[in-house]
Amino acid sequence: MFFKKSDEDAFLQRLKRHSGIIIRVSRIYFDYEEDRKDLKQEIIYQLWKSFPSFRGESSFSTWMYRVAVNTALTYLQQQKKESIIHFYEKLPEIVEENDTDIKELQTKIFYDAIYKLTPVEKALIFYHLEGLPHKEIGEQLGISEVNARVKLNRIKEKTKEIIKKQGYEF
Amino acid sequence: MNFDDFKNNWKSEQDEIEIQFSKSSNHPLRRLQKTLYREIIAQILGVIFLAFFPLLFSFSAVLKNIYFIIYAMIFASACYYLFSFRNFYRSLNVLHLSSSQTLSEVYIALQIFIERYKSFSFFIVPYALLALLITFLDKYYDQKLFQFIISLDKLVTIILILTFTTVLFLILINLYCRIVYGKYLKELKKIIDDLQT
Repeated sequence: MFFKKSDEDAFLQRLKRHSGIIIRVSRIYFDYEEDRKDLKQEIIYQLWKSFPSFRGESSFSTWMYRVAVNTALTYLQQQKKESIIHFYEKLPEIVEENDTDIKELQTKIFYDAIYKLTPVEKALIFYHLEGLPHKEIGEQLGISEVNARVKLNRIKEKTKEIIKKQGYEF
Repeated sequence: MNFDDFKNNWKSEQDEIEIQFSKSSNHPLRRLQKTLYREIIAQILGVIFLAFFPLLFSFSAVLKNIYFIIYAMIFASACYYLFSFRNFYRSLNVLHLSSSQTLSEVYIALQIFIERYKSFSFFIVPYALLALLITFLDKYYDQKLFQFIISLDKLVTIILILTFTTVLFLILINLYCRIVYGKYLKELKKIIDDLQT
């Protein structure tokens, strides 16, 4: 596989513009920073390797979503460290904290629930949080729009249940 | 707290990303490709090595001719198998397709590859054993080979040893495929099922 310097520049430029996708995919798949770093590098590697397949038929971000999510789905790597389960006995102390602290705690609780989902469920939640409509989620995953909607509702319920089991409302 | 709150804050969570091009990859597909590459090289060397058997073991002229007739057939089949392995190696670059297509393509390609790998090994093992037998018999050639072959008890012993060794190799090949590729296949199947149900 040979690339011209101009190809590399074009790739890097596009990659930088959409680098948030890589960060967010890694964030949703791994809790531990070192695992996330490995996955980020892996996604960049796979994006570069798959770059010749990008023919501009869809937008670069659509293509990037696919490669990034498919890399994470087939990565099959166990977390190097067990994700830390943030379990809090009771919530009242938060009331005394400021908004930022509350938001941080809520984010942690949310991610802890997400890390308990399967790789496919994480992919669905990821696309949903990215704001993709059901039709597009279905296209990216290769399932029907109805199936994407049903699955997503099921996953939302599952996430809520996990959070409730930790003693929080969602 | 609900999903909409997270959706609103989702994209605001940003940190720096260091874009580095690494030539090595730890992705299972890449690891599979590396294993495959090493195996293809080993098999090519193995097939080449078999060509030197008559020279290494100083076969007699008659046996040398028989050996090379068989070798020519084996060589043609080996080329076909190695070519199909090469196609599999290339077929793993499918991460740009939809997730369902990517997973299915990799899964099917891997299944086909494992079966081809097994059949190639099953095909090569008896041949390699036969080559060893010819080498063994050749030593007796000057010492009345004909008498050796017609000796029934020795013939039974040879058949038993060859059968046992072949079965042992087949079991080992199956085990090897299960350990090296089977685990990945199982994981992929789990993800495909999760996506389709």
